[in-house]
Parts: sequence; structure tokens; C-alpha cells
Amino acid sequence: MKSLTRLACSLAAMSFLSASLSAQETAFVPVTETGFVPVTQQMLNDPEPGQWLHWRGTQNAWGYSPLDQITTANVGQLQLVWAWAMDDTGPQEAAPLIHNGVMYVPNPGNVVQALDAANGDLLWEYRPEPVGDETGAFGHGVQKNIAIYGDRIFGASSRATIFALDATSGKLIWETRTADTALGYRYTAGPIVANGKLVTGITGCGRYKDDVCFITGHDPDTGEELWRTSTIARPGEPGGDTWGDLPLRFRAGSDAWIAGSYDPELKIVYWATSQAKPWARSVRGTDGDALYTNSSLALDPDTGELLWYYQYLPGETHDMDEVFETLLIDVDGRKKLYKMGKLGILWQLDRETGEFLDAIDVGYQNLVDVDRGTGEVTYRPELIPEIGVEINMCPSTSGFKGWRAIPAATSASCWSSTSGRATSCGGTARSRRSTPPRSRPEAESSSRATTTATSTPTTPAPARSSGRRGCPPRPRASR
Amino acid sequence: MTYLAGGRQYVAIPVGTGGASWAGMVPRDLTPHIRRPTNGNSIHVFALPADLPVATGRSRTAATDRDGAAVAAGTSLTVWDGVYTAEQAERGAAPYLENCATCHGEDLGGGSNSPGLRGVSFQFLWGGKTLHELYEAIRTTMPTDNPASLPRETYLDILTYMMQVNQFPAGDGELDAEALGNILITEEPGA
Repeated sequence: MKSLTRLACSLAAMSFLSASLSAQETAFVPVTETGFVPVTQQMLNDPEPGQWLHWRGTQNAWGYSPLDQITTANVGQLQLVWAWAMDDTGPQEAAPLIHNGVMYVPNPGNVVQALDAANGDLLWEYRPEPVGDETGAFGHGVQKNIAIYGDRIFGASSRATIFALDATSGKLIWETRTADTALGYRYTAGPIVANGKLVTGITGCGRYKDDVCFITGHDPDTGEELWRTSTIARPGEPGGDTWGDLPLRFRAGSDAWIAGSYDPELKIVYWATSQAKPWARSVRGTDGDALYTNSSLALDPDTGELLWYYQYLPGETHDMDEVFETLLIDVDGRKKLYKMGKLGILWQLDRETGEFLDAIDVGYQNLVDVDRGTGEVTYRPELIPEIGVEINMCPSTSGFKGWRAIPAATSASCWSSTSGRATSCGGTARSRRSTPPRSRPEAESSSRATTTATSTPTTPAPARSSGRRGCPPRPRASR
Repeated sequence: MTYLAGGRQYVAIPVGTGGASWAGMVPRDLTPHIRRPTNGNSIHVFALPADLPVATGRSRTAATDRDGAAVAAGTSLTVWDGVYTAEQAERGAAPYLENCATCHGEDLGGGSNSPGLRGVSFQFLWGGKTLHELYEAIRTTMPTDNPASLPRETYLDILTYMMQVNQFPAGDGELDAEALGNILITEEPGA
């Protein structure tokens, strides 16, 4: 009952928020650092069990907690202890953080709040003034995650800015713009902290413009941009020919709209990219691979150097996004990377080298065949969209899996696929088995896997010379 | 997600409408009779009933060395030394409800625009400071629509009421304004 009352009060208070903003200035008492323990990279690398310092709990993105007070035996006794009405001006996909009993919550509309994690009491709120009509639009204002480091909270906004807040007061310390919102750019994913740097990927890259999507590294002290790595190969760059002869203006997509993972031992950030835009090859104007769309990028957090990449779906053509979370799991001493996109194919890579290890199709798609030995994806020709031709495809563009992240248990054998979201196409999925087997097309050698090139500060050139084994050439269907 | 606060495990579930949610994906033409809700963005937090025995988790903060903290702060007392009386706190209850509860809540839990004044919220804001600093902040800035409008004795009574709600122990002597600078706000010794 008490919780319900609190919820009601919160709702009432939220509705009067705009009227009482001026009172907020005086009602809030400045908070000193007393009682606040700054977060170090070491704490992020090896957090205490009761903390939740990364959007997926830990940097390997397991979403796993070793806490054991709540068990399968007593979980049925859980009771609601508090509830909190978040900002309701837009869609929300928030992953809160926990540090020493304080919950930091990213809200829609670039709002960040700090709550007493034991009872939901508000400690502070950062609520920037809305600019123009930036609320309510699909995807706009979503803040999926924030980061904590030192005595600051870091976020990325729908205004294409990265910002730092005082973790004890919510006061804005710096805000750095990385792109022009008039071109469609915005953030929905927030930063992660890797080797003392903020790493953030931008989205809203679907429009035609003489620029491409990117991932940046920023100095958490000053907000200074340290590096920028493009997620699309430009004309003339390594991999640039995978877009055919399309000029830069027509190379869109490869949004980096889900925050990545970090391996502090290898000092590698793993960040993935979305499909090319427009989605369909026939509209895009090329059936090339379109690097580095639908890929995992292994980045040096200090320089942004592309250490290796692996493209899951070359030449994607159905809006099947592979951008989602990246799980880092060691199995039998091998450092692996696990990933699943909209197609519901569970990919395994060696995360030191990018080498393909395995791919398991969980069976809810009818668009491609995947070779478990090589990772080669072959599109079924009759399901490649052509303008004016209707196809029955599965899954829908919502995907078998969406942005909701998959957890991992303590053992790789317990890796859970149950949170994958089956879409309403169960019957259609079976049609896959009725599709006649097709002969394997001739494989061609791929230039993308063996390229060695010099890099420029803004060029995602694969660098394979630093003692890392390059991933072997992956045979690929000729088209 | 799950976490510890005060040694107790909680499970927090953010809910609402995100991308690829039914409210955004089902074509309106197909379901014109269904009124789309706003997002209903919220967080719901669950825990085991408090009277259930649970394993002792790691403490969320290092144990507070009361004497050490007081010495370091240059004070000789803390709020745990019985520095006010129950009668004094009871005198403060009515003016609190009249002047403060609208924003900070009848239970001192705070609201969307006002910080909580008990428990972790209180310690987060005021831990490590003296009662003098807290008293002066209240006296000079509160209530926000009419700061410094109450008698000093009333501010002092309200302060002791806040101390009572925070379960700082009452003692034999009333809290005196002159003594405030010598009393440190700390977490419970050994907590």
C-alpha cells in the first residue's frame, strides 16, 4: 500500500514538474563528495557483486549477478517494495546502474535521475530543457544506457551530444557535440568506459549525406574527442569497393545503436553495427557486402584503431539487424564472443582474432542458409526483395530478437536463448524446411578478410600486423 | 537487474514502451478500437519480505568509525550520541507536516522535486557534515516559497524531528543551537 502511495505521489509530482522547476533550484542542496566513492577502471573491470556498474552488469555483458539471497526457492515471495514513474515523454529502453546503494536511471528526453536504491527516493535529477520538437518521435529521446566513472555519470543525448554529470548532484560538467542533428544523427545508446576512455556509437545514420556513421572515443575529464572511427568504408578506402561504385552520399546505415562490451585483459572494445540503409539491395543500389555494416568491430579504446572486424550478414537486404549486445565468454580457455541478431542465429567468434567459430540457427528465419563450418551466409534467391514483388519472409522486421539483451549464466553451457523473442511467424518458420536445397554456389576469395592497410585517423582500416592473427578468408557466395 | 542496498538484495525491472513494442508496431488501422497508452515508463523494484532470513551480503559501505569520523571532522559528538529529546522531536512533527511535508513527503521520503530526508537519501546528502550546516541550510532556504519564515526554535524542533525519523537515538538533553557545530552526521556506527 505504501508503495502504491509512493507511486501515486511520484506520478502527481511528475505532472507538476514543469511548474516547480524554479523551486527545484533552491530545494536541492548541493551534495559534496562525502560518502561517494569514485569509480575506478579497476572497479569496472571487477565490480563487487552488489553493484551494477555497466549497462549489462559487467563489461562482458552477461547481465549476470552472483548475488544469492534471492533464489529459485524463494523468488515466489518477492514483494514490490517501491516503484518510480519515469519520464513518459518518449519510448524507454533504460538500463539503470547501481553504485553503493544509489540507482542512476537514464530516462527519455535526455533526463537522468539518481534514486535511493533501497526506497526510490529521488536524490537528484538532470533534466535539460527540451529543444524544439524532440519528444515523442519514434526512437528519439531513448537513452538505453549511461556510464559511471570517477565521480561522474556519462550519457549520450538525442541532440547528438555526449555529456558528463556530477554523480553527486546531477550538475552538468561538460557536453560535447559530435554530429549535426539536422542530418538525422542522434544517440540512443550511451557510452561505455574502456581503459579510462569513453567509447560511444551514434545512430540516426539512415539519411543520404556526405558523411557516415561513427564510433568515438572521448576524454572523460574534458569531453575532448580523442578518435573517431567510421562504421562505413568510404570510396577509395580499404573495403570501399564493397559498396560497388556508390558515392559516399549513398552509403548509409551501419548505425552503432547498442552499446558494446570491453575486455580489459585484451584491451579491446567490441562494438557492433546495424544493417545498411536503405535495407533492400534493390533500393540501396548495390548488392555488395557494404562494409562495415552488420559487423562486429574490435577497437583499440585508446586510438579507435580497427583491430579486426567480422561481418555477419554481407549485403543484408531484409532489415535484419545484427547490432545487438556482445557477450564475452571464455569456454575451455578460449576467449569467445557470442552474438545474436534479428535472424536468431547465434554466432561464435574468437574474440582475440575475429576468427569464425560457429553459427547456430535457432530456426525462426527463412531468408538465409548459414554454413556452420565457415559462417558463410547464402541468401535464398527467391526471398531477395525486388521492387514490386511480394515475399513471405520470416522473421518480420521486428526480428526474432530485438534490443532486449540476452543474459548468460556462469557456464557457457547454460547460455540462455529463452529471452529471444519469437515473433508471430511460427508456422512460417517451418516453411524453411520445405524450401528445396540448393547447390552451393562457387566460393570466391574475399578481400575483406585479408586486407592490410595503413590507417588514417578517421579511417577504419583493418590492422592485422600487431601480432594478432587475422581471421582466415571466409568463402562467400558469388552474386 | 539486481543489486544490494544496505545488505539486502533487490530486483529492479524497468518497464515501458520501447522500439518494436506492440504499441508502436501494430498498425493503427488494424486496431482502431484500441486506444494506445502512453508509455507507462517506470521502474518496479522487488525484494524478499524483510522478516525473511537472508544471508548477509557485503555491506554497501565501509564500516563507519564513529570516533574516527568525529575526530577527523573536528567534532566530539555524532548524531548517535543522544543529542536531543523525544519531546523536542514531537514538537517538531506538527510544523514539519505544515511546512515541509508537501514537498518532502509526510514520511520524509521526498518527491520528484525534493530530496528524501531519511535513510540513505539523508546520509547521501548530509553524511559527513555537521548539524550546524544542515540547520543553517534549512533555516535560510526552507520552505522554498517563504525561506527563513519560521522561528529559529521551530527550525530546531523540525531538525530534531528529522533526527527522530532517521532513528538517531534521543537522549536526556534538548538539542541546543549552540552545540550544532560540534555534532557530526554519520551513518550508524558499525553499519
